[in-house]
Amino acid sequence: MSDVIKEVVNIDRVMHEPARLAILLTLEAVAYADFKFLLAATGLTTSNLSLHLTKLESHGLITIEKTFVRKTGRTVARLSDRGKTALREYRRLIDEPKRSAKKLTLFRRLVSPDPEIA
Amino acid sequence: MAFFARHAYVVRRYLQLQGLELLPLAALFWVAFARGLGWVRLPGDGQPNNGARWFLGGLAVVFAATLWSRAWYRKRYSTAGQLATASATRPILLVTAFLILAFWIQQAARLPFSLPILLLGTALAVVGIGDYPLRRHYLAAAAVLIGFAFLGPLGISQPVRSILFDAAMALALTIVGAGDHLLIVTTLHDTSTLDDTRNLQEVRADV
Repeated sequence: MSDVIKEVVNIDRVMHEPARLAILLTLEAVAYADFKFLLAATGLTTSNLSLHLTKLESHGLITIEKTFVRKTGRTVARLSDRGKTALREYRRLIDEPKRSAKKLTLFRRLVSPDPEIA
Repeated sequence: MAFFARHAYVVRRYLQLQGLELLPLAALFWVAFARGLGWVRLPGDGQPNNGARWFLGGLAVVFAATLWSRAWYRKRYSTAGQLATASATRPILLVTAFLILAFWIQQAARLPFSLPILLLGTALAVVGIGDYPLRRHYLAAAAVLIGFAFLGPLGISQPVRSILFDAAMALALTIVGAGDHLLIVTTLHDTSTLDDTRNLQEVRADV
């Protein structure tokens, strides 16, 4: 098994889940977001979002703060430093096979100019 | 991938894309345009500076409507903090500084075309090209303003231009406001029907 494939197989499954990835990508684009904004941005249900936020928080990828605005509880989430690093690493892992495939295609083209083989 | 790019862009620029805020100001310019054409008469017309007085009064209504539109977005999509790198403060200050300079040059050099409006149109075009295709509606607004800037050399008289100025501003604001607003409503999900008082702990308790 090549190193690239090994890395992809060992990808962080906490992040490699569509809903959690959507939450992390949303939080990456803002300084902070409250619970309702995350609902609007991801389209998840309240219970689903809650579960995924809890999971992301327990892995230290996000931080959750509870504040009160006019006696109403407000839940604010932000990407932690660990979350930022994890997202960068995730992107690198996802892009690496693509880069390797491009290199391989270029190599094949150089070795055999026949487009059928390339 | 286009969807992800759009989603990230709208989330990142959520505060700047609240286009409904511009529509009351656009409405004020539309009323001023209609008044210029003689379609609308306001109490006190005939007195000097009556139009300017009504316009300033209208700005107070515009400000109130802006607060309402902010509340509208907050109810539907709530709030998010903008990253410092996504802030529009620096570009706005820069354009304002150049506008002041353009007004001064316009007065000093007596240019046949309107330099401030040309600058405003160019600024919109820069946004339209820089954030293409998501903000391509800015190119239409830019075309309106740049077209207006060159009405002088085309032989359009000053009184007609002053009426068309209101129309150009109203049209540009309507295009920008409606386009930005559509970008938000077609990307984010409406959460106004959800109970805002429920917080994470309560939702967790339900699960």
